[in-house]
Amino acid sequence: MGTISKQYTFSAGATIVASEHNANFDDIINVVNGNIENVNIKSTAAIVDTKLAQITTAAKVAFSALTVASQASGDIAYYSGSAWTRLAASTESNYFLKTQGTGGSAPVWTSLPVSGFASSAEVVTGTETAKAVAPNTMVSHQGVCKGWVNFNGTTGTLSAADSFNVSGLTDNGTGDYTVTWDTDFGSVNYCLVGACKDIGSAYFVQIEQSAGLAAGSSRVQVKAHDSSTGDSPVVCVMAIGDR
Amino acid sequence: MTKVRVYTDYDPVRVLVGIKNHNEVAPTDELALKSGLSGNFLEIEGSELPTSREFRKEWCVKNGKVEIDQDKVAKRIEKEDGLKQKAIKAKNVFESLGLDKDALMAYLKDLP
Repeated sequence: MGTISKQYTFSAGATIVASEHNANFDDIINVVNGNIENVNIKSTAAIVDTKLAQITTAAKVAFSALTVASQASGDIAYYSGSAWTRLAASTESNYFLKTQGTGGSAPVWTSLPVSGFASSAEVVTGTETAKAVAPNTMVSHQGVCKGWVNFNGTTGTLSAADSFNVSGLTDNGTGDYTVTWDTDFGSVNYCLVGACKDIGSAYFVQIEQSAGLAAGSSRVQVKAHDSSTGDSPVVCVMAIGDR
Repeated sequence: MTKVRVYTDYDPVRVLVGIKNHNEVAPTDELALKSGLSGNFLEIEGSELPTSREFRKEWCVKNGKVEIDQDKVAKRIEKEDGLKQKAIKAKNVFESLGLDKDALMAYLKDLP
């Protein structure tokens, strides 16, 4: 509707015609009843806070319309316990917002306690103290098991129950097996241990005499003290070393 | 069941099983090389292998199949029977001489 103006002005003593009288009031009524625009409101007028507090329907205030003093790109808003407050954007890259519990302390920007991820070489060296270890390099550490297998040596086809870093099993004969490692060791100077389920005599897992340890495989035997070999339903082999 | 490779130039034959991510997979030439295997091989389903390992030392390949070499089995049993007979004889001799079990075991330990 916009700004309205009085259509008819009556001088003193003039006869008031009904239609003119109604026309003056109709404009006012029309504006008040749903057509008030910005121009119809006094520039210094404002809706008092108590009226805003009466808004109960969700999403009546657009979040995008909110403003706060000194706001800047990247700012974060948080509730301080008494009011919504602005936390200025961090001037550092790769910082994270650190919450400080439920005690009401304001969140702060902070750096991670580590300076990135260690390389495989750094994991092998094992002296780095400021870097984190990613799962894909964890196995590089000298103290970590590089490969293991638990298999059944009594079946026609050797069957691995579970394994890590094993790409093959060879059945060389009774109680005589070769474990092939998926990723090779750096040399033959790794440590191999084995155990097997009791098969009724004093059997143990040992490194086979002639082939022994190779960088990519380990030949082991389930052997008794009298040098006879036997098949065990559970043969476990584990190796630790550099690679 | 997955394919396995049976390397036939060994006595007894050797059987290679491939593993990837805990699962059985068909072996490759690279795996065989790393496993120290070479020579002729037969690729068969794992289910085609004998299920019993009682005669594992006598596994051989005949007509494209892994079988138990019955001649070898007979020879081994004969040899084992011979040893048993030897042991029984020795036991009888020792007992007739009034010797005890420990002495018998000490004797048996030295048998070939």
